[in-house]
Amino acid sequence: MDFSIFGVQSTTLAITAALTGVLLVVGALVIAWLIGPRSYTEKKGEPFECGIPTRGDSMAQYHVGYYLFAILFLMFDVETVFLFPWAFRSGLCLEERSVEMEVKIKSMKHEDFKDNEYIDNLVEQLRAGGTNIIVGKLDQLMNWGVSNSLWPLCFGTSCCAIEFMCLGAARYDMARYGFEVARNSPRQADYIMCQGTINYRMAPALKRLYEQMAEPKYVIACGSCTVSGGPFKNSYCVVKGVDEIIPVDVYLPGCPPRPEAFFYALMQLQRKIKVQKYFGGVNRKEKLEGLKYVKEETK
Amino acid sequence: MAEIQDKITQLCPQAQVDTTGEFPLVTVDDAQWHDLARALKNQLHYDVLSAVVGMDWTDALGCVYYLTNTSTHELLHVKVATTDREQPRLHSVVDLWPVANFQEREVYDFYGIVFIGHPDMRRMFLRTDWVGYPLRKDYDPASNPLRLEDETNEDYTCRWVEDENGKVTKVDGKVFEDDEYVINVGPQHPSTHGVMRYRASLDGEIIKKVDVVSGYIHRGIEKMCESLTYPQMLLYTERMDYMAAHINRHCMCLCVEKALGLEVPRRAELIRLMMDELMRLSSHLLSYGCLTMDQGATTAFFYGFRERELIYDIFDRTCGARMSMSYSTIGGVVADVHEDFIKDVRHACDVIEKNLAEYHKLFTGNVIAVNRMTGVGILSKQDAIDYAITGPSGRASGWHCDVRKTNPYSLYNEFDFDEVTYENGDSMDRYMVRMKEMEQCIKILRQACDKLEAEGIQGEYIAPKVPKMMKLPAGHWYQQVEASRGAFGVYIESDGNTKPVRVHFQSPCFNLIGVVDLTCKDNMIADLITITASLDFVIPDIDR
Amino acid sequence: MFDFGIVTRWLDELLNSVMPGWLTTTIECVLVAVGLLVAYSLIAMFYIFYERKVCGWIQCRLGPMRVGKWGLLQVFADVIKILQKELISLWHTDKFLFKLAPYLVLIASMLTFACLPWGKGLQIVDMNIGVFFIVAVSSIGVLGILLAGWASNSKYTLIGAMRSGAQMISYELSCGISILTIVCLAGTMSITGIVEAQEDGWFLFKGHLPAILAFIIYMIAANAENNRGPFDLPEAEHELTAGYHTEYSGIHFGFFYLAEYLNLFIVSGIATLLFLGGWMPLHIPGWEGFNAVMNWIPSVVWFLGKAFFITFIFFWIRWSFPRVRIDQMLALEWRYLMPIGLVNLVVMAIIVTQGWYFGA
Repeated sequence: MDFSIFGVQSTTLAITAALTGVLLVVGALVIAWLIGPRSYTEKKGEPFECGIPTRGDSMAQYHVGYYLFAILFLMFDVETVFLFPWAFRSGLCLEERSVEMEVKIKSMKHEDFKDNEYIDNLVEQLRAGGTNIIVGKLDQLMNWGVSNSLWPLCFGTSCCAIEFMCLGAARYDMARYGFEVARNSPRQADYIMCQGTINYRMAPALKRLYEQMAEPKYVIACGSCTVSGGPFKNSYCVVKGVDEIIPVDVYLPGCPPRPEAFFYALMQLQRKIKVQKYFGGVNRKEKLEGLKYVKEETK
Repeated sequence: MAEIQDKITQLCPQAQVDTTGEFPLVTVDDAQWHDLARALKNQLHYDVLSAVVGMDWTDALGCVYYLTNTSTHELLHVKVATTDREQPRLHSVVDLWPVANFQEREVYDFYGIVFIGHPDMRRMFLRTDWVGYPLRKDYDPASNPLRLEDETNEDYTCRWVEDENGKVTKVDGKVFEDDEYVINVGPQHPSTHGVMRYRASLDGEIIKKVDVVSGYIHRGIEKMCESLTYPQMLLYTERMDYMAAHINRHCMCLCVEKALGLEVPRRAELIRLMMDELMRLSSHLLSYGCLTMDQGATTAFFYGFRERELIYDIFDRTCGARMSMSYSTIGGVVADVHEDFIKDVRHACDVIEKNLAEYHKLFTGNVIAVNRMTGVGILSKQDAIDYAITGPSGRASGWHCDVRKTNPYSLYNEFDFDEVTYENGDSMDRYMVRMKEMEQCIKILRQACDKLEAEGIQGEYIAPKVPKMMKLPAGHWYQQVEASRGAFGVYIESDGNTKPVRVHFQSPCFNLIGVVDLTCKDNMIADLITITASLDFVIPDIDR
Repeated sequence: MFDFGIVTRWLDELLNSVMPGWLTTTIECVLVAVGLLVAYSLIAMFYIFYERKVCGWIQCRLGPMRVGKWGLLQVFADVIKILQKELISLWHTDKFLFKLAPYLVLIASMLTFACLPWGKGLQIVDMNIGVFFIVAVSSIGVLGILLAGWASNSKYTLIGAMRSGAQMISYELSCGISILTIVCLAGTMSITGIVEAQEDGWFLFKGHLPAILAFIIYMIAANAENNRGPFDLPEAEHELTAGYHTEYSGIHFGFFYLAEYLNLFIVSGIATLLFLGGWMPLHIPGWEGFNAVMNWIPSVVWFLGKAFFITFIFFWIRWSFPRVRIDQMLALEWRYLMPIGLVNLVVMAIIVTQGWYFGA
């Protein structure tokens, strides 16, 4: 009988600790499930193998408990999904605030961003969209979090990748912005910075990688090759701009762009994110119906 | 050249030998080609196949083979052609020069020429479902639109065999058996090496076979060059091996200048040489950083890049850009150096030399690094020659193949530097060759600074009469230089117009991937990373 | 020095006087749970920031600077971002095992977290088999990693999980042996007992040679247990992209990320407990004035300071050395660390029975 803090038995406290662990996981998952977006494409659910479909099976058999737990989970999930919009409609973020005209990034003045019209137009559209378009405090918090913690996917095909490495190196140090956590798995990355030419062979791989990323995701087309084909525009096998395959958020010209230009592009992406409507916009939850995934025959 | 002509005529009476150009050009039919090739290799000691250049002469399709003699460093071209455009067939020389494996696959990919006797006749760079052969003169670009479906039939391969009666049949085969556990490494992979894809068949952690699938950054540079003038195509030389951008551009300039008979002022050549060596230094620093990062010692990467920024500053001030400098031009350089150039270069040399000792302390002496690299991925000297592995990787196996010493170009014969070679050919040796070569670069740079200073800080930086319309005389023109990763060659065939008939870039990295399977067999996955990092290739150079 | 037991006993009596016993216990458990959650989260966030700053310092750069003064708010932004990411569910995975994996990892982590010697009177789980309990519970984390890799139905994750499994069970042995060595010296397995036995000098100094050897073995083995530093094969980025947690997105991945840093803290905490005295200040027998000054610093500060110092050593190792290969790593354990550890244990046993240690 070991008595510990507060005179409670150690075993009881050990059980409390274990339950706390469970509570942490459950709590965080509930929050994430409530506020996060959901979207489905066929490729998103496939295993990740560097952008190429897997050859053959990776695993042998399934667990029967999967069905039971899937049903239980679905029950609780539907309940919480219905609770959430009720909670929000009842007043959490309904303060009407006028949208700020200047989307500020630390230490860079609004005038120094050369294309103010794009963001200003976005802001105007948001305002003109109707009475329910608001940028509440919660949206601002989410946007602050997302814009300051953008993790790139390691995706360098050609020369621009070397400048990106210089960006991460000691002199330019993108870690100051919090961007240095470059993840290799698309599930864990926030944006894909296409550095280098995309050709016809690489295009399906890029599309697959993009679809396998978790929402919300962004794309920066870095270098002339990804913007329009660049010096290789007349080639028989180069994609004339990566926006033919995936939607692009920021275009960064240059051959290769200097690291300072990279920073400018990243700050533009941050501005764009700060203006986005998170709740009701970015965190849309798509339904799975209509997308029937056909089970692959084992090759 | 006359003795070579006599010897070849003795070996093969039907061959025609043309000695009017820089090197002897032998023209032979496909029926005699294989026998002549064997004789050239075994009796005349042309033991390195430097390049296989596919050609479309409109009326005929064929290849030009560039052979090198390792003892006399002499070059020989052999032209083999066939007039059959529907089913062009040539005999393969893979059994004599294993480097021809990938080279002939490239020719098949671009021209459709089938090589009889090749063990693995598949496309090299283009999608498996590609229609047509792009480098043929009658290729229609609209026949292959952008396809977003994944490629199929990745395991299919075939061979063409000839029986005693001369009948050629196609035999299907598979790259991997159905029950093998095949893992995909790449194309999106967190190494700087770029978009290379390996399909490795595993047995637990041991690799049984590696199939290298390249072409993910193939941009059709050689085809594009056929519709550009010579000054216009200089741009592409920098975007292949971007870590040897200046050196590759220098090579192209030298080739065109040789063809035009232009004399480049000495000062311009000296500046170009200095830029070459700075580029080599920056490339080896990057290779050091990436090798250490791939092994897990990330900090060394940052230290290497810290020094590279010094070199980039010099490039920035002199050429206007950090990478892809576009500084050399036909006839000299685009602009003169700035007045602090020599001071900056000397300063960079001092800093880098001092920090090299730090790199050795951090990584080279580390017991983990030694255990991971020593004895891993051994490439013997004979294999290096067979697979035409030049550059630091070849020198680590003991082969003296530095083009700056064997066929000196530019002003290299005025400089005193050592060719660094090691004996074992394992990953540790390949790493050490680069580290020692950095010291040699610094030595050359210091000598060059002294020369430049002695000859005056301002002077002629471009040839006085550079023709506006550059028409190369008809014929074959070739130049080879020592790029950061090996011997880089530019082959131009011209018919007297402003645009070439054919331009081929023989990249050193293309040969390097030919030995990935050889060196990685029976090693672990972790060793695959070590070996490819020590071979140090840059993918756009492979794919062009 | 200040005994937190005074505060906790006062609160306990206060609650007992106004409500039934079971309600008191429940409220106290809830208080403990809240405390654990807060401490867990804060320390994890601090560690992520600490690593990025230390890593930046070693690599001649600054690390996070722009989000908040000196980048202090960087991890808050990271947490918010990760909470709002989509949780991708794959088509062909073993979903139960896939979801179960983070639970196992975090339960193991939280249980060992609760066993650490936070301060005088702040010992949460204090069984008389305390250290044994820690060793037993930390094994559950291995299961979580294996499940994560297997259930993802991807070749990379499977390879990562196999490597991890082999690595962790091997190095647990060495961890256990070095812990046993100290238990031998201390004479007790209870955590409070071990801490209080170091009142006249930390075990690292008291036990001289065998203790120092045990410390080195423990540092290597704990590094490997955590999949960090030279032993980060299971998540070797440059070989297997992201290893066993490749297919996890959003907060699902965040749990593994969090647990990795927390495990680092826990392992540092256990090293502090066994070798550097836990929350016990540095006492030099005979120097009463010095000891009094040392006692003035609160015990929590001592514990955290020592743990952070050991963590700094782990960071230093991680950012300097290259990675070992799987066969080299297993060879290191089974051929070198294990035999040396066993011999060391025997040597320690002899020393203890003969009384050849300081403060005998």
